[in-house]
Amino acid sequence: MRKRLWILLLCLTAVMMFALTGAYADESSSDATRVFQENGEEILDDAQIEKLEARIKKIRQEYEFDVVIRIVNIENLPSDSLMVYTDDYYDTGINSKYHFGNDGLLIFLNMCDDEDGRDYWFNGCDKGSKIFDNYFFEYMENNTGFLSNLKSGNYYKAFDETLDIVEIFLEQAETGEPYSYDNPYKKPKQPMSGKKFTILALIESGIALLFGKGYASKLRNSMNTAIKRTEATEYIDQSSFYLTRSQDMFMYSNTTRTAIPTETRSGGGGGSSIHTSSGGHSHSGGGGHF
Amino acid sequence: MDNVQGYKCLCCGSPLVWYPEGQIWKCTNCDNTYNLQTLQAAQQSEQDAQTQTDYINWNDYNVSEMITEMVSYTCPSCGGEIVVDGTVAASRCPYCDNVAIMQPQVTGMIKPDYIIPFRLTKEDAKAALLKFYEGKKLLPDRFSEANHMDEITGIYVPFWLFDCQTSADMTFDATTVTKWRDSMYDYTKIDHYLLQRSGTLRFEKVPVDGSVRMDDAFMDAIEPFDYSGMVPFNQAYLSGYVANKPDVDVKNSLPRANERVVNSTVSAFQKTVSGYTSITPKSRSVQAHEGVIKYAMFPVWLLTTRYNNQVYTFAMNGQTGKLVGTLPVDEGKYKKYMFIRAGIIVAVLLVITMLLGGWIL
Repeated sequence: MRKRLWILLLCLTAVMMFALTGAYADESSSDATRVFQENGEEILDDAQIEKLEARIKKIRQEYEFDVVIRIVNIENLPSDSLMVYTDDYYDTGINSKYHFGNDGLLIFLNMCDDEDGRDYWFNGCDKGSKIFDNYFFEYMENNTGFLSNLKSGNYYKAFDETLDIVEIFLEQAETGEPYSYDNPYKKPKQPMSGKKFTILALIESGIALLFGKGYASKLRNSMNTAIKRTEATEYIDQSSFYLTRSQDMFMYSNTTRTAIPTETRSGGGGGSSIHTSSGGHSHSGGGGHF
Repeated sequence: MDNVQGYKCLCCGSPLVWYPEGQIWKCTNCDNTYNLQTLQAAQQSEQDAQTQTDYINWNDYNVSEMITEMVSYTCPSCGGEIVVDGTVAASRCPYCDNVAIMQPQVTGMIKPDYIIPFRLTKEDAKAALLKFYEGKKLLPDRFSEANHMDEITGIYVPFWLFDCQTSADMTFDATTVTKWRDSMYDYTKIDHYLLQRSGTLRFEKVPVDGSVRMDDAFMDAIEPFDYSGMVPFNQAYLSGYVANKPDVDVKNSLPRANERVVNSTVSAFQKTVSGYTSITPKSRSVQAHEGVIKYAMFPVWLLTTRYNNQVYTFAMNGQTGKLVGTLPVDEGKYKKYMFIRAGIIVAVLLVITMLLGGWIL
């Protein structure tokens, strides 16, 4: 009987150990890497990756939504195939050891500088395809510093700020009315920074001083009314003014034209309709070049 | 497209080609077309711009008569000379306010053709000066409070008067600008015109002061005098006033007379041009022949005062009451007004900046 009790206790211990190990295994999958730099790319350093991973983990915990950043350098990856490529990548990630969440957003960069330049692509999966649709892609392109940061090499800032926007869109989606063309996101006005205010105040003081000096100079000028004259208009006998010739002759015309700048998407990419990937997940996608 | 002519396109400078069909010259580069009259006018205006000059000819001034038995005073300090008819004695120089005794000498001077008698009194001059102070925000308080004039002198100032009939030929380059756009381009069309104006104009009695001591700026600024009050000279009008001997002769006055006549002629003809976006004078020739010169004396009240060891002079037209001069400036007030105005502007700008920057509300 005592021996059986020991066996039962050992079994319970084993079950608990297994349960604990399993729990640990689940947690480790949720802690799995979400920022990938491949093909020798090292545009983010370890500290930056660590910060981005922490932010992604927080988003995952708060919104049950996954974000993956993948940076590659692949030649001959046509821009028009990025949608399928990123669909497949994310779908594969769902079933891989990384366990990407079904609901997620992939931020993809191909650093290979081909004829079109380097590529970026956003790919939303399942719930992500509804929250991060055309409106989000255009917002990122036109209303944020995402592209300019990529162009100027501020990659960490580009990703960090993108995560800010992702959180804002996710939070809004929880209300049941995600941001869209019909319900656009209005960026809350940030109070001007003290530094900017100081600079503006200095410039304004300079302008005000110039105006003040102009006013005082006008007063000074009014103190002198003795001014030499160079005309004698009052002494013209107006009845004597007689025009013997008054001819206006057209000589020639000169016409110039300037092309009206057209609004073009700086990314130069496209495509974002929600579609179903070969893996059976619904995806949205959009991107361009930088 | 037959004959190549020697004309060049006025727009782009390319050689023009004669088109018999339209009886015109055409530029194959910019498509402008020209007729003979246009090309000749352009060529002529170019030549005129190179060669035309102003020419104003005046008759000599012949002294008709001299006034004798006048008493002359010369300031030992500034050299200024005044003459009186013996009814007044000068004890102070009206130009530099020097109180040194001026030794009188018997002298004569050219008899003017005309004179405008004083119409306003010394009291009028004082009142005009007080009014002149009004609204002068930078006037030192001590200056206006002291309110005393060291010297107020009624002076007949010599003026040369120039009459002439001018004829002028002028050309102007003018443009009109039209803008429009289509779905792809913004267009700007500039039409170029050559404007020609010729005509005549008469000037009557353009005054140029004939006194070295009287500042030209002061004498110009108290103009105009009302010539309806001008009468043939009579020495009796000098009684009780001093007179300034003409020490700028006619020859030295001509450049100023010519400058004023030419500028006014150009201005009068330019006013006949309108309706264009831009107007640029291209060539001009102002001619005047046998201009007539007369000599007159005009009434001027000269007021002088000292402030901070500096003499301030004011001149008032003794006929119309127009008073001019240069007042001292209180530098403290100058800075005060500058900083007050700057402070108001900067306060408004800062409030706007704070509102727009989200610091308020």
